[in-house]
Amino acid sequence: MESKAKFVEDRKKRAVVKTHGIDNAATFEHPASFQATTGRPDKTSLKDFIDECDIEILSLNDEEIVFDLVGAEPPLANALRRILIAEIPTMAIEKVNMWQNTSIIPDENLAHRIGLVPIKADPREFEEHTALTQAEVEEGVDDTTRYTGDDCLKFKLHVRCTKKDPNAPMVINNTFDEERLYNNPNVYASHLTWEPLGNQRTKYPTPESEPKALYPDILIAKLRPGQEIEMELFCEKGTGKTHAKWSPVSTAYYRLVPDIRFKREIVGEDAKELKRLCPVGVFDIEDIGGIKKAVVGDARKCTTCRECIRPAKFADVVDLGKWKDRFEFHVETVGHYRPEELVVEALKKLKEKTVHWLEVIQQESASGAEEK
Amino acid sequence: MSGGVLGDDLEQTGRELPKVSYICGGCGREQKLDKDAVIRCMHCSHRIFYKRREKKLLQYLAR
Repeated sequence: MESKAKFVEDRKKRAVVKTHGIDNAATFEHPASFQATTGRPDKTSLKDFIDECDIEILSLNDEEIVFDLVGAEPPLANALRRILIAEIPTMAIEKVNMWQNTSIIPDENLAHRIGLVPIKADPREFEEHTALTQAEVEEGVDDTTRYTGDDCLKFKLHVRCTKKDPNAPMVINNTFDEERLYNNPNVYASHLTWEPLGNQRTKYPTPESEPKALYPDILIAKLRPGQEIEMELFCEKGTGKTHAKWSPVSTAYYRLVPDIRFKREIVGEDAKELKRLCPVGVFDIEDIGGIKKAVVGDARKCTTCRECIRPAKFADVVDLGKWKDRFEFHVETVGHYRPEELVVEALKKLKEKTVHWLEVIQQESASGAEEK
Repeated sequence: MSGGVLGDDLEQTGRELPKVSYICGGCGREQKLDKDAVIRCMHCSHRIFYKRREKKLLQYLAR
């Protein structure tokens, strides 16, 4: 009985990395998958899922959250990842009114570059801008005149480069220092100045609360004396599925947590060799009573390089496993949201979508019943 | 406004036509040039001038 339970547990929860590939990578979603062995169907109620599913935070700072999503199926983990990347709204520059650009960077490239600058503003305080209708487009309506304080943030960028001292030597100590020679040789994101629309001045009264570029030191363009850039920039609320500039994460990914075991003990010179084989130092050596024995130090360090199972003598001994229901999530924010907030927003969005489709199904089945 | 009217203006009032500002290709300085002026920089005697970009609205999508 004991071995049967272990067999089922291993089949359900553990994928094994072998030299030829990964064994037992599939998940068993059907409740009767193991009924022949265990004699009863698996638990499938929502309550069971709630009891088993958990999030364990491994690390958290201003930029990144790392957590384990335990007791979940791959579709849930993937849905969460995809929502993080493509469906959480942020504010980003969408329309550019270019009045002057005599810099060496062409208008289109400059417009594209400026669109990628992350803007510090809470997107939850804004509505989505309604696009022009076909009739309005044909009429030639200027979309930038339709923006209000509720769906837009307006910035101005006006920078002109000038020479400081015409008689200053160009090169001193073999170095050419543009900051010494010119005013505004570089256009940075900090040059963006916010222009309040509607009641935005009262909404963001202090300099700290004002919308601005998240990172002031982003280089937008380079200028030389006489060159000038003058633009009006309009931010819209959007999501990453329209364009990556709206994506709130720089990275959002998951991997299965490794679980490394030994089928037999590895001792002596073999233990030393195994430790040396692993480039990231997963294995340690324990010295008990003069016998040097290989042990797994930190399995999470494992990058699945499979160096440890390359020699034939270790291939059958080192059991390189992965927990199939344990996802190590890494969510790195761009800066619009705090990393932990992002995960909560993603889960909210997932719930919203689920509820939507549940309603669709219920309506479908209701109308189907009427027809009968 | 046609050229003839402007020409009449010049004759009557003695005022000069508005000069157009160009950028010297040699020294980068700005110089205003007349219609019939010699194309030559006052500062560096360079003979190539560039036209300024007009300050005009162009709309782009930041994508």
